[in-house]
Parts: sequence; structure tokens; C-alpha cells
Amino acid sequence: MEKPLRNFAVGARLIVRGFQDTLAPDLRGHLSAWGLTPGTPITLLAHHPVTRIAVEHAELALEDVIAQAVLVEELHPT
Amino acid sequence: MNDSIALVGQPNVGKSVIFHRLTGRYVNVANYPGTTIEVARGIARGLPGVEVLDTPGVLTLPARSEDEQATARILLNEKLRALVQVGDAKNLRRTVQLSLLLAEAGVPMVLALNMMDEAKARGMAFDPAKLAAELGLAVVPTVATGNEGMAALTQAMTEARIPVFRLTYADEIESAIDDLVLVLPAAHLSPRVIALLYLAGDKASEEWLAAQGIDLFALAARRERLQDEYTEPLAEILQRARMTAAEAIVHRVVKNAGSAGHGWVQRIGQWSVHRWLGWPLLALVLYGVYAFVGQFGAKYLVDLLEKQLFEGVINPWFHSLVTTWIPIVWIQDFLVGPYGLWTMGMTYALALILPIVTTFFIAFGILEDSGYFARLSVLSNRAFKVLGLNGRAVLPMVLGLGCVTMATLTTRILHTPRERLIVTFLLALAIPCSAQLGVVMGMLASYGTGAFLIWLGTVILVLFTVGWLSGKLVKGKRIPLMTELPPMRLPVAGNVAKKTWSRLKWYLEEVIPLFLIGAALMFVLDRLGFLPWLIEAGEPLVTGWLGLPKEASAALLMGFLRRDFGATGLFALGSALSPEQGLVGLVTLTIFVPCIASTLMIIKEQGLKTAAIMMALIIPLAFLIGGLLHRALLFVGFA
Ligand SMILES: Nc1nc2c(ncn2[C@@H]2O[C@H](COP(=O)(O)OP(=O)(O)OP(=O)(O)O)[C@@H](O)[C@H]2O)c(=O)[nH]1
Repeated sequence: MEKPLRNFAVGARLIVRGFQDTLAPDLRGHLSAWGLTPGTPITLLAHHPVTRIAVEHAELALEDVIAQAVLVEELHPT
Repeated sequence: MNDSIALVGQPNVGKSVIFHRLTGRYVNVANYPGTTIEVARGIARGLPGVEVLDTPGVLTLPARSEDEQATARILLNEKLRALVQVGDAKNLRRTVQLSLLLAEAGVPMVLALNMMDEAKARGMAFDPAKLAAELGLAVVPTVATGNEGMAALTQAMTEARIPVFRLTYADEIESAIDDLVLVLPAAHLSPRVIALLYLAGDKASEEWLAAQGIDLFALAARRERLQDEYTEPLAEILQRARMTAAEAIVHRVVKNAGSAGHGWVQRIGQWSVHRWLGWPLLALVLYGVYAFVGQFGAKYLVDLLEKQLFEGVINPWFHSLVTTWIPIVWIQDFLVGPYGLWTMGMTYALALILPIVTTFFIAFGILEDSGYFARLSVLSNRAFKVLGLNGRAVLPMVLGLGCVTMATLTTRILHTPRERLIVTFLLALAIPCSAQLGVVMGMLASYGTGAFLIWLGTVILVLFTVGWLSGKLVKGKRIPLMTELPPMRLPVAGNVAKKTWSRLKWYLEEVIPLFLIGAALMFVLDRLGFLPWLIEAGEPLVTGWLGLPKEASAALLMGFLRRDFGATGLFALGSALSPEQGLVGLVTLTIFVPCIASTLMIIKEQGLKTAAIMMALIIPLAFLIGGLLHRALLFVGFA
């Protein structure tokens, strides 16, 4: 089940599934330039003060509105 | 012209360090974390006659910000002998994604996989030879900071060939490319790559095509036709195609993907953005900076230089030299009088400003090299949200505390014209540079902690009120924070030293002439009887409204040249000012127009009209705030 990034617990291993339509195209373009495209595995590092995720060996900080628009799914559903 | 090699790559992958290794030239001050703002050129040491270009980092092409477009412009306009893509070895997927575009540019190419040390430290293992075979080009692993792989890179640069590589996009894209290629002019780059850039909406390519006299209407129509086949923007479709291909290649090449870094430096990095721990850590960092810049630089070193060296030794010696050898009194005055070139200009620049600015740049360089600033943008994001900005603005704002002019140039790292405009305005309005801060602190120290807090509170209040208003008034949407946090690293002493030195050099070249001009101007105005006149003319405003002695007009006039210069003018009035008057004067001066150099920089970056509007807002505002503060202080009976 794909849900917004903000719905998962810190430490979760996730896989990017897509983006909500609310996300402006230029912001979305920026995310994809960082490698955040559908199919990419990421790790959720924190929710506060902003959402932080690890993609490959890079760390990204995303403000809530953006994190809310990233749709992900748990990598190893338990 | 035929013999240049361009270094291209994503932000913060080590291009500037490699450039330094290859050319021996340290890239100028405009170099900033995340961004080499201007293209730097140097001659390669190992390859006589070959010019190396360092370009601004591009996450992907087409570029997303103005300075990133410089990179595409170079590729389009320079006839390159070779292209060196510098990539981050630990972020291979992202690196290869860019290679997949560059490899089709029709230019001999080498891929330098930098930061191999960090990739290894994270247990990552891959086969560079296999990657080379996949991409059809030479791949050289490097550790730029450790000087590893540089000889191999130079060697590969001389032998570079045009990559034998082609990524096949979806059929409809390929057919659009084929159509475009037919009408594109001959260029240094392959028509295929120009077509790909154009389809993705690259501004630099559009400009270039227009300059070649190409009919853009036909091209645009073809692009539109392709776009109609997709719901998502073409840029993203193309990007995703490359990302998918990169993913597959990386999958074949990597043996072990490694795990997150766990060293103690990494741990500090995590703490610095922690929702609770981040704050005490920030307080600690601020205290450290204060102790180093405020105490050691502004107090100890200034005292040593100004009192002991200049006033004690150099100035008396120079004074007697001048009075003995130059019999003409006005020249004596011009050099060593109260507004003299030496007594006012040089003493001030060298004894007062230099130590403060030097310690500031050292502290800034250490924080910059460590990766702390990116983390600060996470912590400060909420505050900047009030101003209609995001945490990325913290970088130019903090640099503004060093030098507002330099910070104004650095606003280019911000993504939108709107953010640049607001930050430039706030820098001009309410960010005192270190030179000014030094003088202000010195003066406030004698008035006590209360005065300091009132000054700080007023300036912060103005910053946020005006910032909040501009956030509302300036057209355009706020961009939410979205930034990469580079790994926390232990600062390298040599690196910090080089950075500090190049910033300092830039500062001195800019500042010393202005000091001298300023001192000379004051001297001339004084001689012509303009100062006494101005002091009379400014009396209603300065005495009536601000409640300052009329002589303070001269200080405000000097504030036009440099704000800190004006503060020194107030300082010079000394006991003629009551603490209340001193405080009002300092607040007015802090908000007052920035120095001439930063005004010129604002004109250069924002245009004359915008700069004029800013000045027209700032000057009355400074007097308004000063006058209000004066009344408020009288009301509460501040003495
Ligand atoms: N560990 C490690 N650090 C490196 C290496 N190369 C560069 N760095 C560090 O990475 C940071 C970025 O280096 P720069 O040379 O400024 O990067 P750049 O690609 O020019 O960045 P922009 O100009 O912003 O695009 C600096 O702090 C360097 O000290 C490397 O091989 N290993």
C-alpha cells in the first residue's frame, strides 16, 4: 500500500512509488534529479524539524509539504 | 581556444578541489558550498597549453538555476578538447545518470569517480573497469583531497576519446530527436545532445539556438507535439529514462552497496539536525564563533594591533616622517590629519577591520568545510518560513555577517529571483557586516548589556517585520525547503586556510581602496566647508528627530561610504554622546544603506531600478526606526 512519506516511522526502509499531483512540477523535477524516482529504495531518518531521508549514500532534507507528497511503500512488509 | 578541458559534475563532488590539483590555481572566493558561482579557468600543470575550466555544479541537465545554466552555456559555446565529469563514487546512480547524457555530447570524455575514500569507508565495492566498458569511456577513481588518482586522471585526459555510447529513448522521443537533428546547426556538441537538451526545455540551449538564427517556432511546435503524448513534463520523462538506465548499469557494476557512515563525525552530523539536540549544539557553535571572532579577534587582536602597533609605534613614526619631510601643511593633514589617508583610512582598515574579518572568515571556512551550514538550513527553516523564504537562505545571511557585498553575490545559490530579491534586500537593510559589528560591539560594550540587547532586539524586530512584509508583497510563491545534506566532514586545515586567504584577498582588494577614497572624500568635503554646512543642514533631522548632537551628521554621511565607517564616526564622538544617543545612532546606522561596494553589487545583480527602490525604502526607514527608538528610550527613561 503506497502512502505519503510522513505516515511511516523513523528508520523505515521504503521504496518510492510516485508523487501526489499536488506537488508542483518543478519541485518534482528537482526530486527526480536527486534520484528520487519511482522504484528507488530510501531510508526514513527523521520527521522533525523537517523530514530527512537517505537515498543511496546521500541525505536529503524535505519540508513537510514535499514529504507529504512523496508516495512510498514499505520495502519489507512485516 | 581549441585546447580547453571542462570539469563538469554535480554540486559538491569535488570539482573545485580537482581543479586546484590540476592547475595549482585556487578557485576564487565566489566559490561557495554547493556552488562555484562563476566559471574559473587555469592552465593545467601536467598538460602545457591546456586550459582547464571549473564549472558550477549541475544536478542534472537542463539546469534548474541561473548559475547552473552557465555550465550548459560552456558546453555549447566552447570548443572543448575533452570533458571531465567529476562524480561522487558513493552516489553512483546519480552520477551515471548525468554521464548518460554527457556521453552522447560528441566530445572526448573521462569520468573521474571522486570521494573513493568515502565510498570505501561505507563498505561500497564496485568495478570501475566494468563501468568504463558500460559507458564506453575511461573511468578514473580519485580522492581529490588526498591527491590520489590525479596522475591517472591527467593521463586519461590526454588520451580521452569520444565515448562509444548511445542510450535509446522511447520511439516517439527518438523520432522527435531525428526531426530536430535535421534542422539543427553545426555545433561543438552533437546535434543529438542539443536536441535532448532542447526537448527538456533547457534555457541555455534555447538562447544558443536563437543566437544561431534558428527559427524557434518550428522547433517549439515539434517539442509541443511530443509533449502532447505525455502528461508529465518532457524534462522528467527524459530524466526518468536516464535514471532507469543508470539504475540498471549500477546494478551490474556494484558488488556491494555498502551501508550508512557510522563514524563520530557522522554522529555529530545527525545530532546537529536533531529536533532537540540541534539547539544546544547550535548554541555551542555560536558561542565558539563568538569566543573566536568577538573575543579573540575583535578584542584581543584589535587591541594588540591598534593600540600597541599602530597608535604606539607605526603612527607616531609615520607622523614624524611626514611632518619632517613634507613641509606643506595640507598634505600633512591629508596623510596624517584627523581625516588623513593613513590615520583614518589605513589604520582603520588594517588594525580594526582586518583582525575581525580574518577571524570571521576562518570560523566561516571551518563551518563551511564541515558541512554544518547545510544542517543549519534545516534548523533555521522555520524562522525563514516567516520571511517567505526557506532555510537555504541561511547561507548568504550568515555570510553577510562577514561581508554583505560577498553575501549579495552569493544570493545566486538561491533558486528563484523572488528569494534572491528578498534576501538581497534584507542583507542591505539589517545584516551588519563583521567590520561594522566589530565597531558596534566595541561601542555597545561601554554602554552595558541592556544597550546591547536593545540594539539586537530592534534589529531583529526590523529584520522580521520587514522580511515578513516583503515575503507577502514580493510576487511569487514560497519554495519549501529541499536540500541535500553533504556528509559531515572534519575540516581540512589547508582547505580552510586557502579559503580564508582567497576571501580575505578579495575583501582587501575591494575594501582598502574604498577606505582610502572614503578618507580622501571626507578630507576634501571638510576642506571645502561642506561638512560644516551639512552638519547645519542635517540638524533638524539629526538633532530634532534622532536627538543626536549635530556633529553626528558627519558620521551618518560616512555611513553612506561604509556603515562601519559611520559607526567609527560615532565612536570618534566618544563622550560627546550619551549612551542613549549612541544607541540610537548605532541602530540608525545598522539599518542604514549598505556600503558603496555592496550597493554597486546590488545594482549589478538586481539592476539599477531595483537598487534605487531599495535605497529609497531603506534610508527613510532607518531614520524612522531611529527616531521611534529615541522616543521609546526617552519614554522608558533609558539613560
Ligand atoms: N572525503 C573526501 N572529500 C572530498 C574529496 N574531494 C572533495 N572533497 C570535499 O568535498 C567538498 C566539496 O568539494 P568542492 O571541490 O568544493 O566541490 P565542487 O564540486 O567544486 O562543488 P561546487 O563548486 O559547489 O559545485 C569539500 O569540502 C572538499 O574538501 C574526496 O575525494 N574525498
